[in-house]
Amino acid sequence: MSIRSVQLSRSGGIPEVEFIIGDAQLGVYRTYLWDENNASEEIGHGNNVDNVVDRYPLRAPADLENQTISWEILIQAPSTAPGQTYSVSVIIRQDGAVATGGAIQEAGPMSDRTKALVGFARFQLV
Amino acid sequence: MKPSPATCILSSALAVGLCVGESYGQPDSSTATNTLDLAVPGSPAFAALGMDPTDVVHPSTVRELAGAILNGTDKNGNLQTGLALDVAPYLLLAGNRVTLADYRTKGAVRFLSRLQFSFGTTKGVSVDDPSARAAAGFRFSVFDRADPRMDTELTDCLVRGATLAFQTISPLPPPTGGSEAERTKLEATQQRRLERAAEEAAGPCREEFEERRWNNSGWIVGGAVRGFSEAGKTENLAWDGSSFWTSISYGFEGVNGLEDSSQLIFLYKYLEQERTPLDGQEGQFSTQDVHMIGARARFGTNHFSGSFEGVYVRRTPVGGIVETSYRWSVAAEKRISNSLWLEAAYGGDSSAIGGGGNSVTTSLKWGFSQRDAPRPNGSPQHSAS
Repeated sequence: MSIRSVQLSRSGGIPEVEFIIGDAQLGVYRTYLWDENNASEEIGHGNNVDNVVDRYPLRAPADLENQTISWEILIQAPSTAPGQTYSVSVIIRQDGAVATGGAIQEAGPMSDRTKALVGFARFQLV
Repeated sequence: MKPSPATCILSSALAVGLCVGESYGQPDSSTATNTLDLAVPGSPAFAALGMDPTDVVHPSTVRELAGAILNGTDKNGNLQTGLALDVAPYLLLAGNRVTLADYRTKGAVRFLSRLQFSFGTTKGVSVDDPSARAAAGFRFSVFDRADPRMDTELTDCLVRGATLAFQTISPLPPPTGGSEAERTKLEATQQRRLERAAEEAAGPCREEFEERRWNNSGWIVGGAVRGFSEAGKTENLAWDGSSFWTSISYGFEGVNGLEDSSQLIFLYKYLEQERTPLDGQEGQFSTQDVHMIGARARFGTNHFSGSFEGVYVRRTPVGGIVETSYRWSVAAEKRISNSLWLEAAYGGDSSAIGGGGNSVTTSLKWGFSQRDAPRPNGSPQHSAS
């Protein structure tokens, strides 16, 4: 799968990433920032069961140029009834607005009780 | 092929068979198997048509839903047989904004998320018969105290399992170089590793939940309407009857000594224009309206339980005389594995032997149930969405 591109304003504020797990499913996630040498730094981890907001600040735009953000999400269907579906949104905002290319959504049927999603997006400054 | 009820029993003797629910155009399975299915069907439209489809479409996008509906008829409006569609419309349309927290805290979200519609079509009884039947059904939970999404012990346990999976598997770095196919393969491998680890940890969570919630209270309502077209066309569909089910279970929550071991289940079922095959006349049916009221008391655990059951049935054949009958049974069932059940039952039926007797039958049956499908004992199942 190709790495998405997210455009950030060089002069804008510190962007943030938010995870929304829909379809009333349970989700646990972790997110990392990777530099060009693939050295990583954890941005955050969490789940949608606790009362903690699933939104994390990144770095100043100048520090994000050509950096890659990754996310891994484990969705678990509490119900085992047939026809379970999942829906996940990863949203990258800057100054309160969704960045260009920063609304990433994936949805579909859950072929099993657990579904893992892995995704990447590279930042470009404009 | 679904075995006929006759394969499920030898009266007053030991019988072994594969028995799967009731069916349109077949006698009520309870006549033959002693115990009655007290569950509201998972997909009322399929039950109304007597379908047991193996390939049910569960659309996860509006586009998939539209495609499935379009596939239900050809360009000339002829009904295509074999359509089996089951959809939760609220989650389909707004699911991306429905979080687990919304579901837990907002009653309206819960109700709408549990609302399901089903659609199905079947063809006439013979190869050269162009006629077709279609059905549309609904199903919802008024309340469900066995709803896994509402169970914080289950969800906390699942979170721990997923967290453990993350702790044991390193994050995948961004792919550098390589072809698109190679990068996709790397991601797929990481996904599978995470899924396996999380599911392995989730297994005990789900088992513990089933043990704890097997007898919880709930109220489920379902219904369906059927249409019939002799020419098999949508524009000629005429009313062909309706069905209605409601099942209430009470799990004695908060009552010491009964809370973990007992359950009462009540069912009301109405079948308008139910078609029953006439003995010895292939392709010929009698039509009747059926009211059924049943109750069952269950005692035991998720793996082994005993039950007492009584059912009142009132049948009104078209142009015939109203018939009423009673059934009763005592049964025990043992869960052999997740999907395999063994049941022994002993019971009576006042309508058997010409309607005047009170026959006693004994049966031993085993049956497979799909994951979370209604169990042989008919306990109302969890919300299906």
